[in-house]
Amino acid sequence: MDRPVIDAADLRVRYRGAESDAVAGMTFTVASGEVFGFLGPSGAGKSTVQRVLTRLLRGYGGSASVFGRPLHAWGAEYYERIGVGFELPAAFGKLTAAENLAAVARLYRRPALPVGELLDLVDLGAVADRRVDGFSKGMRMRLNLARALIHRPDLLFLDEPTGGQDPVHAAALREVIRDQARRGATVFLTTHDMATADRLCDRVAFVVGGRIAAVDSPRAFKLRYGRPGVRVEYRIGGRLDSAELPLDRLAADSRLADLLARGAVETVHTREASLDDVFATVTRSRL
Amino acid sequence: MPLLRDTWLVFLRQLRPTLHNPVTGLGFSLLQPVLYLALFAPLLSGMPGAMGRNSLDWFVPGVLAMLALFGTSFAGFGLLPELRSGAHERLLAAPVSRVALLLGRVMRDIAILLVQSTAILLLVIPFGLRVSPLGAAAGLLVLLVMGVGLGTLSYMLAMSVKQEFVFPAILQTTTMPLILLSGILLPMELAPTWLYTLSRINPLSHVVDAERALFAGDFGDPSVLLGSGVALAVAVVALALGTRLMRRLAA
Repeated sequence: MDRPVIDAADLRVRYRGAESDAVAGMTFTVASGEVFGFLGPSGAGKSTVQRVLTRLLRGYGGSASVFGRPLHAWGAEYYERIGVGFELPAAFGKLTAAENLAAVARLYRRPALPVGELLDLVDLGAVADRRVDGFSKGMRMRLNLARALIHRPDLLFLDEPTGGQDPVHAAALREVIRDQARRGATVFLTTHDMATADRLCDRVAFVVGGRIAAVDSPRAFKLRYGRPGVRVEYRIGGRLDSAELPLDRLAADSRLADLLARGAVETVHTREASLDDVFATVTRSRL
Repeated sequence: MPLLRDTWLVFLRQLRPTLHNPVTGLGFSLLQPVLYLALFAPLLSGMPGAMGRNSLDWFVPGVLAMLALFGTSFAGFGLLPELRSGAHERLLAAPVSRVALLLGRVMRDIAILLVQSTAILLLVIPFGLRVSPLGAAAGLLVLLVMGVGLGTLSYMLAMSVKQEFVFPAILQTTTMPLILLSGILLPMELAPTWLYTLSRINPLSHVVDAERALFAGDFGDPSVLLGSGVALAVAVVALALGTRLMRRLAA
């Protein structure tokens, strides 16, 4: 098995003056090319872990290695290999979008992606020469993502990458992030957006109270917390009704076939849990 | 050298907004010294002593010192929105020297101070200012050195307090006595002994004295050595503290 890109063991962080640990012993690995999601309520410790892994917070216990080297052994060259998109859109407001990216690109020794191409990728090509302080939050967040991608990083840390986006832009950004994984980059993202986690992540970790409550693929979570079966909505005599049919008895149960034969079925849905349901169940049970 | 390269990059990045809008970036901050020169300097013309004989010769070096004080000590104000928005933290997660993030900003402020000081001089010379060109150049150099120190301290203060309503309050409280005890507006020789003694504790008063001697071309005046030394000491101490702070921030 390949060595993980991120390897954290018993990670602990306590802020000065705090009575309890913000991160209370997290152990996890992230494989190369994986999109790994950190999900959990506010204050669960997600962003703190991201600050540790981006070397912005150095006071931590336990161990954390990235690319096979302990974090404390890395120098400035670490930032040549990682891309960071924090939750707050961190652009220079008095510069245009293109100037922002050009200014950032110069900081890297790696060849940068063409600014225009990158702005087109996040649907900001048309406003490349507009000052960023006139941008909406959604536009700033897209610029934030472009900024994180400019040097083709091997590892991306993204915090709420689809924040402030309409559904069309959110889907487009998810695709941009997926493309990063396809080219071999590893993605570590923290989010409250379950749709993004569900559609984007290979695995997700639910984080509660500074601890990891559960780690698995979104599909496995949904199956585990759902009830295998289908829910049928049908209309007979003008009255809308529904029935839940367990999967293991579906073949023997003639109700669905009867309803279909009568032309009464309006919708059929499988009953696996949504990631929202899993989030609510896991975090509530651990709070 | 990575530090020089990074400082240059940060300098350029910081300078760009000023180049976008030079009137706002340079012009408005020139208004205060110009108003002092237009509305206050004439009041000195009837006063006894050196300041009355040629008030501009006496007053302009002090005004330039005031410009350096305000121009650089309030520089940290520009960092506060970046601290709030996360833009500064984002730079800490880039392969750029932490010290360069500070130095590049300070260099931008110094460049602006140089342009502004030169503009003031060129503006006032037609109104009768007499300066030694070499002395004026040396005087500007001393102000720039002091500006490096004050700018660095200002950024350190901004990084410490982080709050936009606290920062100006601290600066107002600090700069007001510095100005009043500097002898920029009136000679401290007119002050009672206790006030004069206080002014001697004020580093800015020595820089102002040095500026007046240098602008008059009096390089042998003891105040030149003392004022230049004070400016250099402020810069060295501030840079040492600032470098330490930036290295401790991350990575």
